[in-house]
Amino acid sequence: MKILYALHQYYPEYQAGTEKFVYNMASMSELNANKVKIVTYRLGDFKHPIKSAEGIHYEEYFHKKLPVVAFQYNARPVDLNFGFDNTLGLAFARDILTKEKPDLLHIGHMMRVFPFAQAAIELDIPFVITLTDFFMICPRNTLAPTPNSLCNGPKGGEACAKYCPAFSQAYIQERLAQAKSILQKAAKIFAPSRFVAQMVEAEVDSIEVIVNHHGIRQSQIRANTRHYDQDSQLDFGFIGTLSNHKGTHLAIQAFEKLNTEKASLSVYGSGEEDYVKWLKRLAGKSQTHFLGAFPSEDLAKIFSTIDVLIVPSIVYETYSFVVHEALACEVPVIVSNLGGMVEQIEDELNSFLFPPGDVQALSEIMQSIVDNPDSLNEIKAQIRKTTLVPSIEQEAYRYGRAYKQAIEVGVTED
Amino acid sequence: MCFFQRDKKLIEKSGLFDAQYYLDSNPDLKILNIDPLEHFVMSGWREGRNPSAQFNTKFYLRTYHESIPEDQNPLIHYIKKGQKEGKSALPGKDQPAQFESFTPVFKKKKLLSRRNLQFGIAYIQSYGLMSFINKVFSKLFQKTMFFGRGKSSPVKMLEESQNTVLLKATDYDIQPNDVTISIVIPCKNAGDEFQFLLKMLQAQKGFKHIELVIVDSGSTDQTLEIAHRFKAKVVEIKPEDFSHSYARNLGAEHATGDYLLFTVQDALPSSDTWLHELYTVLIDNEVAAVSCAETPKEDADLFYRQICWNHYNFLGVNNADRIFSLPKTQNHLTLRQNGQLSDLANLISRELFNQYKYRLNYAEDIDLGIRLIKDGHKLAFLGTTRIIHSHNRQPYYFLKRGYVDNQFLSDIFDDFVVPKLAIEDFVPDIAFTYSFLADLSSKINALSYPLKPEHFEIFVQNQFDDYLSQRFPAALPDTSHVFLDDQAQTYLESLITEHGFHMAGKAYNGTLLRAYFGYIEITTRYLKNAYELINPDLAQDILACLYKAFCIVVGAHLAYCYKNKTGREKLNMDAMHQTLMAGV
Repeated sequence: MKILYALHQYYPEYQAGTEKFVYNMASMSELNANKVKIVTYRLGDFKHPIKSAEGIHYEEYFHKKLPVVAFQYNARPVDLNFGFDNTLGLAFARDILTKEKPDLLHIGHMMRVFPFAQAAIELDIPFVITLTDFFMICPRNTLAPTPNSLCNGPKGGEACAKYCPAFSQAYIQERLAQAKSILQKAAKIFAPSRFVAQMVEAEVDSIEVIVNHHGIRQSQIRANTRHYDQDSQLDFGFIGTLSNHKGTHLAIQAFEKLNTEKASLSVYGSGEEDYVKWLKRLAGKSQTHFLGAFPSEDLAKIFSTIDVLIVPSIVYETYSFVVHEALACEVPVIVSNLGGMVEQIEDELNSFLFPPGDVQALSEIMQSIVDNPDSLNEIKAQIRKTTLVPSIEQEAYRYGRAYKQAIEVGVTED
Repeated sequence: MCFFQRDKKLIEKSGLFDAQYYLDSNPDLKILNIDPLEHFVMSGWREGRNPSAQFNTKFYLRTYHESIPEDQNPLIHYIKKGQKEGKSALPGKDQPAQFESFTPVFKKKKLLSRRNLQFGIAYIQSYGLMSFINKVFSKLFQKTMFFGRGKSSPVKMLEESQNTVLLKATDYDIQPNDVTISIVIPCKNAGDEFQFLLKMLQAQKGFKHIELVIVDSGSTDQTLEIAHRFKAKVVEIKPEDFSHSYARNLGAEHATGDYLLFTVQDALPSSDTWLHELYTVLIDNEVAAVSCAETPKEDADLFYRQICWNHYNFLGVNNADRIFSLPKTQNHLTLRQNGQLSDLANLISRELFNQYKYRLNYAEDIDLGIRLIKDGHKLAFLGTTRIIHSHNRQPYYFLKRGYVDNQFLSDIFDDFVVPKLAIEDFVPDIAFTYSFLADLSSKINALSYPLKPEHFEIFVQNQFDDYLSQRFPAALPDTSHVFLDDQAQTYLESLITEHGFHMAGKAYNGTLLRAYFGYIEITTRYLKNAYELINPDLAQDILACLYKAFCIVVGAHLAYCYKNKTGREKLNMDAMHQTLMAGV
């Protein structure tokens, strides 16, 4: 079987969650004796010999043993990051699919590669979609009209007209119709959380979105087995992009409010310079440490030093790898009660929830932990006993079955 | 359906393929662990091998080559057309002798060279005259192996096999069954992922109760603590008392469930409906036991993946589920194909298991399966439901594995013919092939990448072919064997240094290089199946794979040497036996 994976951006240029998911699935497909190739869009400069097609340049390279084709429009379309259609893209997608002859196309993110779904329909190639965010129903991807607000879905375009008037009603209606048309032709649609599945199902009728949680690499997981007593020193951690929507500032502000000398805050990751400067100004306490980004191989080592992870996002997380990696390492988390990352969390049983953006509430949870560090023992025991985070093998196994079913059934007819 | 499947079905239906005849005529195929019919369809006919006593491949090709399309299996031509047209499948009295006036479709090789005569003598000594005759014909067709091979396909249907009708549980609601499953796991230092395994086992849907029975043979890590945390029934035995059968039988004795699932400490269910899928097959198909194939872990190496892929091709379960029963023709191959159970996952009723129990300390799962089918039971083996499991082991392990596997085969199966092979003749063969491997490694490292697997295959085949004209070496190769672990390197080089240079300078007449070549064909087939391009990283994986393959083939042949021992060997054969049997 040959599987072509398509997504909006890829390694080494970008290294976010969707890239990780596609790499995980493509590498597992290859381990299961399937031929694979990844098609993506190159936003920056090409790094390998450039080839040309009509109105498009592209490069081919290997990333961690997997073959990649990265293309770029000669003239960047204005709607590159939110539109669907592109005539040049469609011609290129037809050429690639005709040349590569995949048995199946798996789209990890539709941005910039939407024409590949259109071409797959034309060429009768079955395709599977994983909804790694809300791009199919929201041109902003995030269902966040502004940096500090969220909506509950387009509601047929009504919400867009109200909260995102920059997009014309006609455009939104056409975009939703196109999304619906493609989704209804997909052989299978997956989402990493019930939350995403329900949001999209609510907007697009006659589709079934199957929940397949993202798996984690067990080889990068080691249990943090620390046992706490009343005097234990604690290290709170933040891991991820340092950005407003990830709420890094909330973690720092909440930590600043703590009345203790027994805790520290370790901030891992990088972000925009101005925001990071602001974070550093916020961090008045000497116990806040900015430790930068780290390679994924160091994940277990980092989680062996963190006692509680804070994930204070103020946008909908569709799943959150880091939350589940923490749980797999038996590290309790304090997460915003928002989106798909809370589905494994039982508040005060295996971790903690707080209202999104509420610094005071976050700080109070942190203070209660600092005052009673030994309460973490019971939380960790509960994680150990009941919290199941799938492995990438299990995630890939389910996709592998879906691929076979999709190929047997073929592309859905109009 | 691809040509491969079509051809197999046609040939199966025709009754013109005799697996036992094929193996008896071609003993060099025995260590490859391949299905004879698959071999015949993929390459055997090109090598001039006969499918049965009823059809002579070379004769048919020679006589009717003008009417057979290029690259068509002559047996397929006979079944589809020749038979109806009255063409002969065997030479009659008035037919020319096989060596005469043969206009080969493929490039003819020079047969009567000194090198080939020497090789022929060695081959007859090892495998017998009939095999040699077949081998001679295969030489005629050897070049055809370099070109025009069809795509490989893992799908196969075997004699007396049938696809199971399964309820494939993926996204349906499971109603709890009023049964208890006891899961028996022999353990020793089960490692970091043991907790995840127990959690996944307890999370299996569809049963009233899951009972965990851990038989521990001396863990010093957290295994016991984790087992107690999950309220497992823990049975502790001394490490020296451990055997694969004893530990599992003891676990079964302590189990109280209606059904027993035997699994291992480093496996992982692929989903929370995995066990229910096995159970559904057991009940709905009225089989005595159910096992399933494995799917690799994220870090599985190329060698492990290819041997699994090859093994499941052999069983016919790469993309299918099968029900096994006692085959009409019973030999070591058909019994292994049809008596397959796996300790990775073996679901069986407790009542039935207690009538049989495990025996032996090696291959106890296959032994149980064969006893069950011999008593009229049916078994199911699932390829579309899998358990997550794989190992990354060092070459030294595979040296032992090849040795132990072949000891087992000859011990268990009366019909398994051990080739005649003397250790004093074989060690120089190891030295020769070891040098070849060093040479091949250097050349693979010097290739330009990316490279198509088809081109890589041709390159490797040509290297093998060219090396056959070399002479036995007088010293170990200069190149360092970076893909050989210290234990394997020390063992092999010590063996070679002490016993491997007395043939130095003589023309090569051994059999190991060809046997190794046969094994490497599995690698090249796997590469063609799974990759479009080989890049430098994959080339390194291939090199590691070639060394492991070398070790497994050497181990197999050392087992033959041990079976042929006379007591007059300079090498201490019993010491070798003890070393290679230990720890597998």
